[in-house]
Amino acid sequence: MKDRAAVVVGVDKTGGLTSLKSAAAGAKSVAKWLDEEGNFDVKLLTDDSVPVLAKQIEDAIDAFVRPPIRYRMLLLYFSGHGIWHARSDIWMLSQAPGRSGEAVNLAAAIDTARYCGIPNVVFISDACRSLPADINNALLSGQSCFPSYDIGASAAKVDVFRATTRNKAAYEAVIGSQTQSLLTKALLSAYVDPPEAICRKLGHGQAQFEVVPNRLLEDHLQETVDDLLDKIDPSLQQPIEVEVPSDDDIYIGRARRTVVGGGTWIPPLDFGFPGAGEWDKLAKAESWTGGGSSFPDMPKPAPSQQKPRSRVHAREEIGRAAQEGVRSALGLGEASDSASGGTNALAAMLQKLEKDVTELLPAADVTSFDGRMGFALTGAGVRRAGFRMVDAPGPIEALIPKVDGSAATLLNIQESAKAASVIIELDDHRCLLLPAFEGYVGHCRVGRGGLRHVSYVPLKDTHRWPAYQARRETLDMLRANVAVAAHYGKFRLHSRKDAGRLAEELFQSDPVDPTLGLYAAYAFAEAGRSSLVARIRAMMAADLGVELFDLAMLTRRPGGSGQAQTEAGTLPAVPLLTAGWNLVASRQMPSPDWAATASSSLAGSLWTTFAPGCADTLFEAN
Amino acid sequence: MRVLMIHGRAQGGKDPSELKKNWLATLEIGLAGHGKPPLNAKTVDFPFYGDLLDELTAKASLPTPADVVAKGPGQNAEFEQFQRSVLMEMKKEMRISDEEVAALLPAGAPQEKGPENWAWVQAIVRLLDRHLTPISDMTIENFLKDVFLYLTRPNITKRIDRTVEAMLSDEPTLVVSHSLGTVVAFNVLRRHKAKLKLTKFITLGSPLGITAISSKLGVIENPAAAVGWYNAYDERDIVALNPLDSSYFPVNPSVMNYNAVKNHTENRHGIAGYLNDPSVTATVMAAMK
Repeated sequence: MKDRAAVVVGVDKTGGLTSLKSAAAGAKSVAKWLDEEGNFDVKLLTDDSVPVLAKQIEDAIDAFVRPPIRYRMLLLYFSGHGIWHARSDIWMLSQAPGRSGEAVNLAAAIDTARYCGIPNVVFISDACRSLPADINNALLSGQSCFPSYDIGASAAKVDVFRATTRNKAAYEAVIGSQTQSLLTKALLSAYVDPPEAICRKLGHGQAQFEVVPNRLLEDHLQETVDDLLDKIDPSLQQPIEVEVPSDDDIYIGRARRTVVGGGTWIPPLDFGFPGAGEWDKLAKAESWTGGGSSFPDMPKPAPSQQKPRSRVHAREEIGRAAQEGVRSALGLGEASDSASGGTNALAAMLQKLEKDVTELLPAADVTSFDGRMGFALTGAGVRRAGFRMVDAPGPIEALIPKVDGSAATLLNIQESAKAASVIIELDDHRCLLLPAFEGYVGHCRVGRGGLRHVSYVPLKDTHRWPAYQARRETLDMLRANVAVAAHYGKFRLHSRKDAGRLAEELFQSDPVDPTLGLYAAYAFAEAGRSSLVARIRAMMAADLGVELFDLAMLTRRPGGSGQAQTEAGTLPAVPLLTAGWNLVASRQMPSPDWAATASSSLAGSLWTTFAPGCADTLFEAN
Repeated sequence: MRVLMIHGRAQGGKDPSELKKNWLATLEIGLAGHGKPPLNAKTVDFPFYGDLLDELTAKASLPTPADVVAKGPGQNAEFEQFQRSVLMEMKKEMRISDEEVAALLPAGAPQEKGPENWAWVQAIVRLLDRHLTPISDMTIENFLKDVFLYLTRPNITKRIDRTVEAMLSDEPTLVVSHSLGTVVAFNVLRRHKAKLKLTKFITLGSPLGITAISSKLGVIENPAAAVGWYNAYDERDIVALNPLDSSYFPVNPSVMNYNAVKNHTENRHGIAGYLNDPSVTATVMAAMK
C-alpha cells in the first residue's frame, strides 16, 4: 500500500489564451517521476484529449483525502496559465476564464489542505502570477477544489513551490529539443545526481537511502532556473518563491544517480540499497540503467555544485530581510545583511526596506484629531467618506475630511459608540471599508497598490493610552515591520518558538493591539495554531466590543466548523485583509450580496482596497 | 510471555481486580472448550482507566442531541459535528430509513431544511438506543462523549494512554482489547511498535471502523504488521459498526476480520460475549504458543 498520493495537472489550452506547449507534457513527466518513486498513487489530469475541469481535480483530491487517512503526503502539481488576484494564485483550467468557477484558488486550496488530515501536503505551482489583464480574468475567483471533512487532526505542514514571484511571469522555453517549463525542468533535475549539499541520508544500515529534502530545494531550483534563463534570454528573470515549513526529513523524491552506460539508478523502496548480488540484476534492468552493463560499487554523490546566485531577485530578498526584521523585533535573532554577500544591490534593498518600514509608522504629529474615533490617512486624499455606528441602523452619515498640519487627512467621528463602519472614497475613486474603534485613531497609509497598512493607535485621553505609551516604540516598529513582511508574503511562523514569541509579545499588553492582533491571527491560522487565533478573537472582542470579520472567519475551519456563533455582528461585512477574501467561501463565512461583485475589483494591496467603480455600490450597500 | 488486556468505557467505579477476574473467567470458558487450561493470572496485566475516564468526562460539559434541541446548536460545534457524523454513519449502516426517523417526530411539525435539524438527529439517537437495552448503562450519547473526548483532547488521550503504557514490558506480549480499549490500544501500539515484542493484536467489538472515529486518528496503520491483527465482532453490535477492512480501515497488511461472534450480552457488545467465542479463544491460544 502506497503512503503518498499526487494529483498532477497540466493544462496547455485555456479559453482563448495562447496555447502552452509544455504544461501537459510537464505534468506527464512529473507523474512518471512520482510513479517511478514507487510510493505514490498518482492521478494525472491533462487536456490532451478532454478539457480539465475543476470537478475532476476535486474528485481526484477527494479520492485521496477521504477519511480514514491513508497517506502521509499529498502532492498537488499544476502547470498551465495562472494569474495573481486578490493576493492568491489562480490556476486557470480549460474552460477559464469564460467560466469563472473553472479555476483553482491556491490560497483557498492551501487553507483547506491544512486540515485534510494528511500530515504533509506539497503544492507545486508552475504558472504565471501576472495581474489579471481584463475583467474576465479578474472575475476568476476560483475554488479550493479541496473537500473538507470533519477530521480534527492537527494541521498539516504545507510546502509550496511557486514558479515565480507576485506580478511576474513564469516561462516555458525550448530546452534541448523540447519546450519545457522552467520550474518543472528544475524540479525534475534536482533529483538526478543532486549535489551532496542538498541531500540527506535517511534510514539506517542496509535500509539507508538518500533523499532531497524539500527544505534544501530552494536555492538549487533558483540556480537551475537562472542558468536556464541565462542560456535562453539573460534579460529575463523568474524568481521562484518557496515556503517549506515541513521538517528536515520531508522529501518528495529520492536522489537518483547516473550509472555507467547512461540512465539513472533509483534507490529501491523499503529495503534501501539492495545486497551486492542483486545489484547486477538491477543494473541489467533496462528501465533502470538505460541498458548499461555494469553497476558501480556504490553510487557516488556528485561533487557540490553550489554556486553563488547568478541573479539578485530584489523582491524575494527584501521579503527575506523583512522577515528577519520581524524576527529581530520579536527578539528572535538579529536582522541579517548577508543574504547576498553584502552587495550594493542588497544595500539598496535594505534601504528600500527601511523606507517601507518608516513610511508605515504612525504619524507622530497628528495634532488636530478631536474625535472619539476615526482615521488619519496619508498617501492619498479623500473624495468623500461616510460612517454608520455599529449599533445604529439607518442611513450612512457623511464624514467631512479635514487636512491636518502633518498632511494627513483626518476623519473625526464625534459620536459615541463602540465602533463604526467607515467607507472612504479616495481622490482617485478607489474605495476603503474600515472599522473605526472608540478610543482609537487608525493611521492609514495608502500607496499606489492600495491600502498598505493601518495602525490603530489609542487616543491620548483614553484608558488604553498609558499601556501603549509605555511600549510605543516597540509596538509601532513591530506593527510596521510585520506589515512590510506580510506585504512581501513573508510574515510566517516557521517554528513553535516563532509562534510562542509572537504570542508572548502580543499578549503582553492587554488589550491586544488591534493591528498586530489581526496580522498575528492570519499568521497563527496559517501555522495551524487555532487556539491562539481564538484567544486573539476573544480578547479583541472583549476590548473593542465588536467582532472583526477576519477573526470570526479564521476561527472557523474550512468546511465551516469551529466557532460559528457571532458572524452576524462582524465588522466590517467583508475581510479587512485582501488575503481573507480567498478564505470566505471555503470557511463558509456569510457575506453580503455585493461582496461577490466587489471581489472582482480588489486591488492586490495588503488591506482590502476596491478599484475605482465600486464606491457607489459600497455607499449604497453599507 | 504476557497478556495485556485493555478494557473499554463505562468501567468507572468498578474494582479492577474483579474486572480482571471476570475477563479471565470468561476467557477460561472459551479455553476449556478447546480443552486448554486457564491463563495464569500473574501473566496478565490489566491497566485500569475507568475511574479516570469518568472523572475526565464529568468535567467536560458536552451537549447531547437533546440539549441541542432545547438550547440550540453551537454549544460545542466540534462535538456536535462529531455526533452528527457518527450518528449519520450508524443510521446508514443500520439501514434505518428516513420514514422510521420521521415516525418519531411530532406529526405535522415543521422541519428545518438543513444540517442543523437536531430533532432529526435526536430521533436517530432514540432509534439507535433501541438496539441497546434499557437496563444497560450503554447509551449512544455516553459512548459518543467518551470516544470524542479520548480522540480530541490531547490531555485526556495522554493520561489514559499513560495508564496502559505503564504496563508495557519487554517480554513477548499478546494484546487483547475491547470497545474504546481498542482505540486506546491502537494508539499505544503504533507509538511503541518498534520496541514491543507483540505476538498478536486482538480487537473485540471495535469502533475503529466508524469513519468519523478513524478520521481523528491521523494516518492509520497496522501496528501489528509482523504478527497480525485479529478483529472479532458481532454484526449486531452497533459499536463495531463496520469491519476493519479495505473500505473502512485500509491498512497494510490488512486486518483479519471475524464477524461470526454471537455475543450473548444484551447489547451484543459486552466483553463477556466476546472472550468466550471459540474463534477468539483459538486466536488467543495460537498467540500464546
